[in-house]
Amino acid sequence: MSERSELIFKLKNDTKFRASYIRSKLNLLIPSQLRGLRLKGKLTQKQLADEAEMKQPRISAMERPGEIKFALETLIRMAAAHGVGLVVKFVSLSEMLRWENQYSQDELHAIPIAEDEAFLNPSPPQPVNIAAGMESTNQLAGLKKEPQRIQDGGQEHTPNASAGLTSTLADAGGMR
Amino acid sequence: MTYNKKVIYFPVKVEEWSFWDFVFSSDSNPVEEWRAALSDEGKLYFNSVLKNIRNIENPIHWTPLKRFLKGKYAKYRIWELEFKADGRQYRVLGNFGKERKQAVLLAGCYHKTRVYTPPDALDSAFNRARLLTEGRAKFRERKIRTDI
Repeated sequence: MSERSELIFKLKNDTKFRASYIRSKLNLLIPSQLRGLRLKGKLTQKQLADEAEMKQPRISAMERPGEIKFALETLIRMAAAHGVGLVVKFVSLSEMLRWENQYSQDELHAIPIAEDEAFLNPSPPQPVNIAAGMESTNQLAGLKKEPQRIQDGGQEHTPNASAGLTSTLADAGGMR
Repeated sequence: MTYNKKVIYFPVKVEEWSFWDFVFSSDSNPVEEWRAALSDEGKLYFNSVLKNIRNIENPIHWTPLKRFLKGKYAKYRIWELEFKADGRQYRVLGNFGKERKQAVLLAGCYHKTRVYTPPDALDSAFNRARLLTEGRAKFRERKIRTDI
């Protein structure tokens, strides 16, 4: 029996072993992410400790694989200190393995909130149907807007939704 | 082409570290013998450690890196990895090969309150590094398992 077959057999039949398996991966991946985030933010352990209101040795221990048992609250505090989010979800073992195989500490994509443009300034949803114009966009966004009015030398124009943006701008003297 | 400000990142395959076991000229592989005797959890951690550091460019940033040994060990730039599994502190000693991004595993051991088990683990790593330098030993590539 190959080593892999033995491990698979145990994984299928032994709950404690499954816990060991999950632990062996997370206890590497979590410290590695914490270290990666800290390095990316160019922070020392002391600076991060101050930000997270923890002691520096605790930060050091969190970056050592298997050294501490992470509580969810600890992870939340670390995410908050780094200004990033945290996703905790249950997945299949194959998905977990895929994550581990594809993971790279050097290529962490967690952007701190100050640089998270998608979060700070989300772009409005794009209209699905150009002919339907802004009306459908507003419906998609769940918004109820008054028809847009453009002032032009005291005169008011109400853009015709079916006419689209071009005629509206032309009416307003926006296209020359 | 500056009007389209959308930046497209092409995935660049980063060259990974390769890992090699020290092997005596008699063909015995002390690193594999040590690994084979580990608990199941220890084996899983050992594989995860190598998988984790294989694509970290700078060894200083390897998460399980404990330190580069000083004193006489510095001659061969011997490093020490650490991880804790099933209540034990594990240590892996290694150094760098001649090829780019080549890491050679010299010895595995346990550690507790400043005591290594086996107690001569550091000296064994030093002697093995010397044997490799003198061409009196060889190394064999260790494949990292991605299927478990």
